[in-house]
Amino acid sequence: MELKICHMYPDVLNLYGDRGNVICMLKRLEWRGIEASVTKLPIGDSRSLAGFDLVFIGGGQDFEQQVLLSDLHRGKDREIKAAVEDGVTFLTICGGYQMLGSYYETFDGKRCDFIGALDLYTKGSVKRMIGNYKFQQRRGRQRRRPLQKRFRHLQPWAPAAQEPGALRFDFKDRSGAEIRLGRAAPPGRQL
Amino acid sequence: MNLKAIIAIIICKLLRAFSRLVHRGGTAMPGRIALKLCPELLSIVSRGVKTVAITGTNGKTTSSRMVEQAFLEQGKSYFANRSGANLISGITTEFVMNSSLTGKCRKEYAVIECDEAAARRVFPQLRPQVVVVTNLFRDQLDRYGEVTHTLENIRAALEPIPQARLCLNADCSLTSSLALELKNPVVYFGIEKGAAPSRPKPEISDATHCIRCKAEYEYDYISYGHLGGFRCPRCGYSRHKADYAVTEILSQGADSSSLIMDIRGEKHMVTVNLPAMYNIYNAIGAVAAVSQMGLGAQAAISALGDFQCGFGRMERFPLGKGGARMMLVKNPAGCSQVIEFLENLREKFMLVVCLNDRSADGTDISWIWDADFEGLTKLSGYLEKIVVSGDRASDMALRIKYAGVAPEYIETEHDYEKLVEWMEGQEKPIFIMPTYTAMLELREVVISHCGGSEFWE
Repeated sequence: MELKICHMYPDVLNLYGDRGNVICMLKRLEWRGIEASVTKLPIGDSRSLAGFDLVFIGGGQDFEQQVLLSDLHRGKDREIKAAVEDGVTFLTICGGYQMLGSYYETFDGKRCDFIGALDLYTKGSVKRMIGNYKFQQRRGRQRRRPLQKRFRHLQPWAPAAQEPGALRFDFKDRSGAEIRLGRAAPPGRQL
Repeated sequence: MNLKAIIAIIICKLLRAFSRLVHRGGTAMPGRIALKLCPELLSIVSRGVKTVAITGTNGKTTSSRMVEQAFLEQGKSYFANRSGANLISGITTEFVMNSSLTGKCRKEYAVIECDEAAARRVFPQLRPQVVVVTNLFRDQLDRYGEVTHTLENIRAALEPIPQARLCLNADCSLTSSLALELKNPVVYFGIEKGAAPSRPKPEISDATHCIRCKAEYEYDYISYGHLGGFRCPRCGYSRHKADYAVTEILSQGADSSSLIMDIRGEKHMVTVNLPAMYNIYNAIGAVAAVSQMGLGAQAAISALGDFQCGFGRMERFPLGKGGARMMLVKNPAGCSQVIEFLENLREKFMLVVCLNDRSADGTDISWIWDADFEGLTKLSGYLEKIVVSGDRASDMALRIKYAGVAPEYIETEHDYEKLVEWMEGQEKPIFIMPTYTAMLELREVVISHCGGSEFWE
């Protein structure tokens, strides 16, 4: 049994240590004797995401987000939307999760349409939000995902952040964008 | 004469004298206060001084020391801002300290290292004759924002000074793009194809797509990171021929490199008193700068064999039987280059890594995951131990563990006194990789144990 990870846009969405997430996942799986593989999906590759258990999308500069937009609309957007509907697990950073929403509107009104896989949109603001923060993961009913179903018996390996109620420390480096959630549920509450 | 300026100058000089009296550096604070009184003070005190300004992401300090060495050896009347005081406050302080009370500078030349974000405020007042842009890499994104923003900052800094001669890194597509929009006279420096073995495309690159048309770059060769013979297949934007070029790297040792430079058609054999590829770039950039300032290329070439590494840039300390060398790290590109240098050492050594996350280091340490610490796993048999220190020592230990180094090789020591005592007892050479504020603090402790110069000397 092999955990199949897809690293999407590793060539352009790798702004600030994002690949560390993939390194961490692979290493932790390796130490627990779980086979895992990472398939990179750069610009130009729009194969189906159906075979993957987890899709990782990093963050990027405005410049790189523009670069990938045309590639996104050439097939990857449909694949991502389908995978989200199927309940495939996504780990996305910054521009990565903004991309899953409907659109991004800059603070001066310029709008960039995205995939619409998640019911959220982003509005930029002038004030940057930078700094370490901790948040508490939301308890309660979480939508069951195939990943959790398959690996439930291996619960002890799950990163602490996955356990409801666990504390997470993270660095939030945002251009000031605020994510407005529609029906999408926030993962936690900032402390 | 501007009375406000004179008062500001007096206050600046007094504050500096006072700071030195109480042994507290005083490199930037006097200038900061003086500028509050007289915001155009830098333009007054820099009037008439022939200045070479060096900016960019990596290599500013090393390049500045190389350039400075040339001025020193030629017996020129000059001063340089030292010790990382490279914002407008520190630069202004240095000019004031080298000026009379009425703001007339006593020196003919100035070698000024300038922070790439500060350049926007500094350059219009400083009006340098020559500006070197070493390279552009992702660096402290919480402080500088995106690399393209830094590029824009530098472009905006240069726009008001179209008469300044630019020395640009030909191998850096980001740096070279400055020439596309600016009217300044430009010369290029770089490493030619074939000088060193080409490398595969890196995992992390700060310029994968054309800055002009966003098509993916093709490369004839890669030096490191995104530096090399780039070419856009769509719009044709490509590496400009280098006026100051390294055509052959004869040898790269643990202490120095030996190369052939082609300077406007003339070939020279050169020894650079520092190892590693990134210092070869610093060297050729320094040659370009010194030459453009009118001192002649030969002045720069002889300086390269003589200059002293300083202030955490491959700086040597007599600690332990094998000695210690301090190599400042600030961002993934620089850090990966240092790790690569270590990979090529063929001797047993100990490694100390000090990670801080204060304002000057970059408060977001995620960058350590972009640096190629995995390279350390190639050093089995040579790397005997890694000691991590600094405010975020635990994060660094974690990173190294995840890079594949067995945990039994990793130790943590938060106390610098204990760390230095440990280093003193070592037989093998020690390489220290600190971030900026960790370097300042550790250096003080090291110097108090074994001597050396204070950071403002």
